[in-house]
Amino acid sequence: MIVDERQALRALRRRDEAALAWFITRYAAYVSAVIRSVGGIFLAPEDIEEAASDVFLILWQNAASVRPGKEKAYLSGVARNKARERLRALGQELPLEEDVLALPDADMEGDLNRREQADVLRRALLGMGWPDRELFLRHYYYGQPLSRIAEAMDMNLSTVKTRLRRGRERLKEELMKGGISHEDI
Amino acid sequence: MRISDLMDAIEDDTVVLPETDADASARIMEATMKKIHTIEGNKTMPAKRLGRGALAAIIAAAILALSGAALAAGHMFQLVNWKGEPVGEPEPMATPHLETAIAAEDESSQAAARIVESQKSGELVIIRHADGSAESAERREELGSLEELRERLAAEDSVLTVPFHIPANWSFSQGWLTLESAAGYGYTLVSAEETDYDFTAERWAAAEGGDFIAGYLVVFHDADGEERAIEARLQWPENEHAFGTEDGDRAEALTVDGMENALLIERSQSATVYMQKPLDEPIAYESVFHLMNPESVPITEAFTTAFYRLNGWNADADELTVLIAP
Repeated sequence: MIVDERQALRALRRRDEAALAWFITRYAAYVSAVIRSVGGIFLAPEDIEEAASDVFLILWQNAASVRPGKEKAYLSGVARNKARERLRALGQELPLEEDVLALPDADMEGDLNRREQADVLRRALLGMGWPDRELFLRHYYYGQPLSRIAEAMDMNLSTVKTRLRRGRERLKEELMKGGISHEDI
Repeated sequence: MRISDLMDAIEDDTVVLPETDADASARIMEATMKKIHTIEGNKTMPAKRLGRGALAAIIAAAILALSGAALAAGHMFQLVNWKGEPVGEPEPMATPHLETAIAAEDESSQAAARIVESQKSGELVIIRHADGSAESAERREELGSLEELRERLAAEDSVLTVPFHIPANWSFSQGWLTLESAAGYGYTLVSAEETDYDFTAERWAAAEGGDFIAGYLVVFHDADGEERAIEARLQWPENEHAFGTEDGDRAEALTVDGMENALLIERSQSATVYMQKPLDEPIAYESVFHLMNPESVPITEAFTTAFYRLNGWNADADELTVLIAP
């Protein structure tokens, strides 16, 4: 009997369908919650279920590249990106607070590859501390409106805005550091 | 630079989100399994080689065999163990969407599937995507007959056996062996082909002399087109099973010579016999995980159990158990 994620992941790499069923049973609601959060009002329940099944299909296909212990995070990442894909297909976009980050060096974005971007972002998020990190993730990762974040985190709206701005500044600093170190290399 | 785009590069599981869709898991399960079996069926069982009935039988058996999967609205599902005894409490299933559309594969996935399908016998194909993720197909060798399977197992002194027999009027439809490399026998990169899509197709050769048979699948049909599929595979110690049943299904433990466990599940449109026996000695093999994940280190893992599944679509219990009778 599969009892935890590590066992399930190992079995999944052996193409054991019972392991996939194990993941779906435990994480279907979570994956749906991520998709619903990112998709907001634009995704119907049927769209969410369809996207969720796509997420588990990807888990099945890419089980070998999932890091043990990071199964839930992997599902979250895939679910988020699937929801964004669906939004783009519908021509919809969630309105996010100052989503575009202006950097002094216009080429910096192109200089950072995906892994470097992830490293910079992780450093920035770690540097934020709680609760700034959580509200930053809620807004820019999960697409939650500021009003809902304020409600969920029991803060007033202006506090959320202030802390979010602080997070953006922190991210900008880290990006500039990342860009400089990249150029130095 | 958009912050939301930058977020594509990370994964988060720290934020707690309200989960309200627990009832949807059965529908998601079914939709996912349909996609998997459609995609993998297309990769491994092309229509020209295998009738649609066989594919339907295998898909149906796989869906029904899943822990927690159920197909009928308002039904209860119940997990059972090797003895056919209930595990946990029965749970109601939500209304399924049997007509759930099967999403069309995008061009990139289709291209990857074609490359996997073109693999040379015993070759390991790894599809490495631009985002750093990778996937591999199990290494296979086609079989031409049941006799060939028996000969290969005997020649390699395999721990897997052929614990069933097929009546004389049944014909071989299709089959394959799955291969693993013994511990200490690694892989060598043969080629890395850039494609017009967002992935590179790598072909790896297993070290000579290291291959051993880790499983097989054979499919047979009779003159009426009825089909039986038999699968065998080596498993890890934790691959014990609980089997999903629905209202009206019958689960019965069987005694089969040479097997530690055997279970028959008779369903409304199919029957399946599962069998399992521990190996005398674990069989160590080389994991291919590190080939797909450059940051990881080579891992040696071990099989400890032989697992068999005999499935018959439109078959009842007697029609299956006669195939495993001495």
